[in-house]
Amino acid sequence: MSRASREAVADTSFLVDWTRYSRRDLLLELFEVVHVPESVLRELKLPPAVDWVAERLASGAFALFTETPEIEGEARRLMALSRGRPLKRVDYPEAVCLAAGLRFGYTVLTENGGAYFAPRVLGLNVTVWRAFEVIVEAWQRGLVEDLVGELRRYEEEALHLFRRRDWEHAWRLTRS
Amino acid sequence: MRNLRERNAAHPAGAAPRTEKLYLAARAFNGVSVEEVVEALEEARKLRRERADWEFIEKLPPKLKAALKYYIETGDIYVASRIAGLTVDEFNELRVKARVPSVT
Repeated sequence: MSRASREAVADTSFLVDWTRYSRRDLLLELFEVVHVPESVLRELKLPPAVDWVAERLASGAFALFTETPEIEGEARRLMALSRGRPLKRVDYPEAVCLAAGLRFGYTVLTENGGAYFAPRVLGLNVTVWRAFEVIVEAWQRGLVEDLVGELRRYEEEALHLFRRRDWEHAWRLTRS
Repeated sequence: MRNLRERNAAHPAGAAPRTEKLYLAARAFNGVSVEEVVEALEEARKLRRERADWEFIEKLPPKLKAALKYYIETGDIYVASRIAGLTVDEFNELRVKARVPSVT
């Protein structure tokens, strides 16, 4: 797992799953600030996502990220680049997060397959984490006691399944 | 894996399944574990198809049904929400009701 920055930028696909998780505030212990782009915020209308994000914006744990023309241009370049590659297309909200990650060094939080594989397939120098990497990091820092139990809790609460390869990685970590 | 000639014989031009097309495209790239990407996308698609509540999905209005089917095939929640005419979090609620797991 690559090294994360102390600041992150979250996309909608990550937030809508993560906010269903009862231990969602773990995120605040891993990052000094989580940036939420305006294009992501526009996709949040319902509780618990909109309530949690609004509360964390109010507390200063989250910060509103306003896209600049430079970031928008980079996002559109990444979208075009992803269309020619053998992976899921990267759409605008995720592309904005990748562009912000590239420009400012933020860790990108996403559950979009195109964005997750972008560093390897598009050769981007950016760290991209899913809920899996976030929970593993929380466990490595001692914030979570039982890694396997926590991953199972996340699966149940967010109706989110981790792939076989992720489970094998988790089991290797807990055995070592 | 079969070689390219055998693959082309099995699937005339334009007839190869999507995964195989992806695989063939993937081979054009060096230095990255593209097989892993293709395998991950296929595993995720299989899990979404298997776990979905198809009875619930089939009873939905056409727009929502089409959006969920798109999501099951691609895992792309943003485009699926646009097809449904919903925001991403509204579509995510529909996904949960239809018991379609999110897999990345």
